[in-house]
Amino acid sequence: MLPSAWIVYRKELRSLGRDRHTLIYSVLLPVFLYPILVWGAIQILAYLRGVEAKLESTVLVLDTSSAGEFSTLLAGNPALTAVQPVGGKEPLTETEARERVDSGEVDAAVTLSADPSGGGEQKARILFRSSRDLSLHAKEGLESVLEDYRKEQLLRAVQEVGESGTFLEVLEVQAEDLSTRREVTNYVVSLVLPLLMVLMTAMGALYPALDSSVGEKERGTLESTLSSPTGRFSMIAGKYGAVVTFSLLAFALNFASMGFTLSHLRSQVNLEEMSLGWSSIAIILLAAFLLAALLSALMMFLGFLARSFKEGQAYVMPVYVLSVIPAVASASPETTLTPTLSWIPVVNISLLFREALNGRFPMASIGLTLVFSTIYVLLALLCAARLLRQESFTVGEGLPLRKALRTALDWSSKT
Amino acid sequence: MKESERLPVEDREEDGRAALDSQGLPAVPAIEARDLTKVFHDPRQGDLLAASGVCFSCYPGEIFGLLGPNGAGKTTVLRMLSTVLRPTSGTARIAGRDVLEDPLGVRQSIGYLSASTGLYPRLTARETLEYFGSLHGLRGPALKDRVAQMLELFSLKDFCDVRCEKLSTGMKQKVSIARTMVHDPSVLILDEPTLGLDILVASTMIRFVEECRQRGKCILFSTHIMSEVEKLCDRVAIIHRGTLRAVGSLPELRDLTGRTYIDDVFMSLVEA
Repeated sequence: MLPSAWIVYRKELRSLGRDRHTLIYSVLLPVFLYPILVWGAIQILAYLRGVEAKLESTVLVLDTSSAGEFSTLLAGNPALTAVQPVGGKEPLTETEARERVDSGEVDAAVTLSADPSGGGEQKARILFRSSRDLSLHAKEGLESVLEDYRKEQLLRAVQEVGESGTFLEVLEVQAEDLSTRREVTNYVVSLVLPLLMVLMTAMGALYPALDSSVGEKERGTLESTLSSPTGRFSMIAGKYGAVVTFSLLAFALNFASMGFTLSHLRSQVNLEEMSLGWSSIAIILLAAFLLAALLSALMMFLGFLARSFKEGQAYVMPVYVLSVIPAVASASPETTLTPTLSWIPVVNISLLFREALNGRFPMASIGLTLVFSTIYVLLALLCAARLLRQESFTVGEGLPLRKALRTALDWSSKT
Repeated sequence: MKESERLPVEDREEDGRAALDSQGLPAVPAIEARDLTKVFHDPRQGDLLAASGVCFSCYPGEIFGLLGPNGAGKTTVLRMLSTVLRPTSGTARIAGRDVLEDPLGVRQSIGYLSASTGLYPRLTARETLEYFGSLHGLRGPALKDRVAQMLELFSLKDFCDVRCEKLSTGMKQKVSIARTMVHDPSVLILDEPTLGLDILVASTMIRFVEECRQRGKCILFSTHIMSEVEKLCDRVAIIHRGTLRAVGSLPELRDLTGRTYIDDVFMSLVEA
């Protein structure tokens, strides 16, 4: 069996290596798309930060107090411009202020009630529209100015009764991050990378899986190969090996490309160079292999189910999209690889990625992940082999989906 | 007894004319079909009998034609012989190996060209021959020599490094036949090898089949082109609606039907 499988494998590699779709999805996209996306995202974020720093909102102040302290504080905030002087000649009502905010004439309005020196409690009210960026920005600026104003009022009240006010500073909070920047980097990357890896590995397997299954059926080449002394299982093994190779290639290229991108852009995202121990690297390689093996087997099975390449794409694309959901779910920082999660396909492997990136090795869960993933791979391949034994498949006709599924999954009957 | 076996020509064959080699010794048939039957199950149309009780034998150094209209069951019979399809009942022996018991052994001995045969579009002619040669166990210099020989034989040398997707229909068919022959099989099963070819390429193909006969190979080929049968075949089996209507040489079939022209012979047997 092995020599035949090896011959089929080499032929598939050669043929797939010349396929434009395979090259785009398994080589070019992993190398260029994500680095470009990451670089683009960083540039956009930097631009937005710059824009935000330059933002200046206009605020309308309805100040019924007399001290004018709030006005002074407001003038000290470069991000806000008061459009009506505090205590102007014709103070507006709140209804008029609301209309001006609604119409966009001003970004926000603040009403400040009487000075506490006049007795009673002073109240501030901000009018803004959360559906407008500048209005939100004005609201945040006003909150900051009002907080400063509150502190000043408090200090003045204390000083009026003859105290210095130092006792107001009863608690000074100092937070010290014990994580090194390198640990922070590993943590941040471990949240994002598994998702990207699932995406890339699935994309790398997609076209080779379809080309080597339903593509062969559509081209009418299967009959020639099956009339040669090649066992059907050898044929599947060779094809499967080639699909896994391209899937792993996409993973490796994407991983290398991401590493290269991060090493060049890490200063812009405040990340340290990543460091991984040999154990982590070994587990990452294992996870990559399991993921490529699983997705390739599943996609090949779906390819064998289909009667045409177009139908194959229709079957595989939902799986591609669905494979992202467990990867996203497992991106939650609280989720860790446990024996309970070890049996859920894709979730277990993306968590395995994360554990390895964080330098954690829950051996029991890793072992279970290995066992369950192997079982899923074998099941998918056996189902594919059952389909390939179908005569209608052999002669390039294929079966309707329901019948094909029944054939693949009905283990009580012989095909 | 099956219909084909009742025919006098088949009885004579069983009596020994073709079953004796040039030295008068009994020859083992290269292909021996025995009651080959194939039923396809269709949920809407019910059971479809594609071939029923097909019996015939072909010998080394013989060109045996399977003649029938479209949908007669020719391809089904050839697919059963080449182990692509499993007979519903009956069996066949090819080069001494049973299609049911030793399908891999059968595939080693045959070169099968299906009517719908496709080539791997992204492989070159040379790579295609090397691939199929390897699958048949050829390795190293033996493989290289054999591939070079095939490229020379089919005048493919100038195009051997061009991808198959860029070859003309005729060139593709040449590559397909070369692929069928690359392991030098003793039995050739060709399903409509000249279908869609222009007269020049078809003539080359016919010449090649004749050369194979001279080299002692057994060639079974299906066709619905009467002139090819007349020109090439030592013996012919007429198949219609899945059953063999007659087996014999052309003179024998003419005697049987009392008709002179092959078209008339064919029509007479099919309408009988």
